[in-house]
Amino acid sequence: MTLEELAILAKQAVIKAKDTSLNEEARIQALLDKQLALTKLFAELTNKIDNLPKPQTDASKYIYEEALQETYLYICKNIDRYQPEKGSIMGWFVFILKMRKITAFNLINWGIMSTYTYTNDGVELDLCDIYTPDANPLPSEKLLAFIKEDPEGLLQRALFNNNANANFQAILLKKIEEDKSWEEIAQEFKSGATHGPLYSFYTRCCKKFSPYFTKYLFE
Amino acid sequence: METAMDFQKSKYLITIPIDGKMLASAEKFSSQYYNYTKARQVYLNTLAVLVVDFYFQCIDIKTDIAQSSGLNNILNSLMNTAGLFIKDKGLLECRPVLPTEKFCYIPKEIREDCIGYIGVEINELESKAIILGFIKSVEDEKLPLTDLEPLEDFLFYLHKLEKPKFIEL
Repeated sequence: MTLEELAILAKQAVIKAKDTSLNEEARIQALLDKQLALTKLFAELTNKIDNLPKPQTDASKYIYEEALQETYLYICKNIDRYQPEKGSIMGWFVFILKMRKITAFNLINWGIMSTYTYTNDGVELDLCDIYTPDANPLPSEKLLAFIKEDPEGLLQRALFNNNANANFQAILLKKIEEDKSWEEIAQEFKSGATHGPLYSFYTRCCKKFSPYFTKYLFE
Repeated sequence: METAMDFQKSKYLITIPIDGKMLASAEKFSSQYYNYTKARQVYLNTLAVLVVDFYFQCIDIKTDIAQSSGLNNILNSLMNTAGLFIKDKGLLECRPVLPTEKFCYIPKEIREDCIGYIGVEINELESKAIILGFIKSVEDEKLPLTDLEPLEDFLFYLHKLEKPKFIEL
């Protein structure tokens, strides 16, 4: 299929997915059809765009990548408004890209690069503000020190197969400090021929204790 | 030399530009580690997650950043994870590969409760990433890129996937 055909298909799929009169089942199907059509269009578009000449200087490159991202997002979100009789999809894309480049150039914060990311709700969140507070020593070092100290003894009390040696603290240290493989760790604990249950235990404990670590280290 | 790109040509490949915001986020997450190998791992994992999240925004798949292990600095300290949480579906691992690599590394500790794996080629030189494909489950820690299925199959699979019975992270 050509790019034009894919664009028209995506347009129709997006319009159908917006139809509020559909029943539950038809709505879910329309959403899948929309995602499939947009994926095909997106792939074909990126294939074409990737072959275009790219800006060479660092500053214009930064604008280019950002403008390109915004243009993809814009085209995907507005494809239902595409009017093939007024011009090709590539023509539309390049037009939007040029507008975005100008906007990006004007908005660019030349001093510091921002780290916000879009979320699906349309709200911009700064990932780094939420997850990586500035700290000295490094958060990874603080975490390691906390694991070693285990002030409440919770990590040492989480036992794998009731084996007092194979507690979560000991496994953690072998994994993240000594960077051992699961085979090696299983052997050291003589936990039997298979290491499968050991890393499942580890994953479960990581997820369970993650809020506990966050609370102690960053609050 | 045959690269990831060559044997994937027949499938739908999506190329996502990596912009300054993504790079800065990856830099910030990775700067928490003295250990270069770990810092590099976190850097590439972060980029892979952000790239797939961007594709999902474009095609209207809802994600939840707060439940994404790949963007949680405690969980990515403890595990080699690039998890992106899809609302009402579960955790998807976005595994980064470099342009010269033929395998994708999938550590054992991330397989629990994982709904699948997406391979993402990170091309730092050209500031772009290519979403290579998808696989539902793996046997080995080393996944040949040739085993990846097209994104289309991922969408069908996701569509059929039931809501997880419990969500914990």
